[in-house]
Amino acid sequence: MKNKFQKFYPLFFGILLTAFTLYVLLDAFVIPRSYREVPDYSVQSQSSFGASGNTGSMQQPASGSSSPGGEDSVSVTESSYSDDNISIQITQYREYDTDIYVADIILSDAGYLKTAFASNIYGKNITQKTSVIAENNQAILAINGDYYGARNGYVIRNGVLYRDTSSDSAQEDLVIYADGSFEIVTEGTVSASELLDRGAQQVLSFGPGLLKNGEIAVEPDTEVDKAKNSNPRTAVGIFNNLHYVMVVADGRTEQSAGLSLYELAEFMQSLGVQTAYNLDGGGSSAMVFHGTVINRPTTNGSRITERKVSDIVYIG
Amino acid sequence: MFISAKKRICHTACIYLGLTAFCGLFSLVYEHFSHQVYSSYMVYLFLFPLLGGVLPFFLLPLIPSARFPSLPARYAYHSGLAALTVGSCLSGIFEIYGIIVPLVKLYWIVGLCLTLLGVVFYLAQVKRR
Repeated sequence: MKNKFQKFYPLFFGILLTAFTLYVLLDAFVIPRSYREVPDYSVQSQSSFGASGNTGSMQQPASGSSSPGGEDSVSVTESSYSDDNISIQITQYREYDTDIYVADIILSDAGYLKTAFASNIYGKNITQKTSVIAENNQAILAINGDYYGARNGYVIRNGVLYRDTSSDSAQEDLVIYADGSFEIVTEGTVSASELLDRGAQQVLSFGPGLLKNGEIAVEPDTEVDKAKNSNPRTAVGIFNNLHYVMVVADGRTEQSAGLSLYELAEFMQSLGVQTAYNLDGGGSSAMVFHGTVINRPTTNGSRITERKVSDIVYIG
Repeated sequence: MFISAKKRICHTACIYLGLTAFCGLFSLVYEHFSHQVYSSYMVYLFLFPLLGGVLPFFLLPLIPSARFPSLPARYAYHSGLAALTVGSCLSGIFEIYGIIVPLVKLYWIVGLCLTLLGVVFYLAQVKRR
């Protein structure tokens, strides 16, 4: 018995370690876990406009037709969209040796600024490309969200609290209230339930906050975790009441170096943004306008293709 | 210490030296493709086999009262170091990717326990002598 143990222990331990490591990797990257299904937005938006609250329904604009705006007044070009309620103008900039795509958005009601989960399911390893989630939710314009599925932190979407566990007391979250205003809070100072009680419709947990009251809120060497300079970036911001901006910067390619957080904050400040917040970047960074990916997302290095993400922020 | 025991210890140290080189190379290649996203767990991965393997097994023959560790001591110690090294590697991968995986804690707990167990077994062996 003792000899057998001596002989087989290394083999047994090796197999055990390999099998467990394989399971950990699969659990982290592959095995999907569904925690909660979100009601079908598209059906709901047709039938229950104006519904809100934390029962699973989305807050929608209190008035207007079921389409984003009046169908009669819709005007669409390659880089713009406008109807009675939504106006979007997309402009491409070339700054810091990087292609930056800016969507200037004016809404008549905060309810047109929405978020959506991949497959409309709140869970882990449930991902779809930004363009696919956008299409499923009939989004006019969409950017990737905070990739909540791979992180801890508060998750409130469309007035529903999905996760109230804090990732870090210093974690900065973006709160979008029912009136469309933005606030950047730290998880250590307020609970997710309190934010919901205050009227939070969306809480995005990535960060950091880039601009607060028009002032740059990051240091030149501030970075997301261990990420260094020059990466693709996604950010969302607000100029003033119901006037928003979504920014996506390319990176990691010969054409675009990418931006540091400070450069992104500087750029958004130059646009006149008052409050700006950094979302998931890197290979996740994508902007979709009318079903077309307009930037050059990089997945696994320089390969130009969209990465699947957990969620999006969109107009629709 | 017998010459054969010294040889066995040196042989073990050489294996750890190879593992140190492999870990160093692995982290170098991984960091090269990580778009300037760095993790200390990955950068210092080579320290586990170096400080836990090469160093003690090269120093052991220099101690006059030292003995070649018993099989349980070696098995526990090597297993612990293996768990710590793999745990550090995974922690680095997850940190670079930007995700939190609670299961990784198990590697650190099991690794530390087994490594300490190996040391305790060895000290008991020395004391018995």
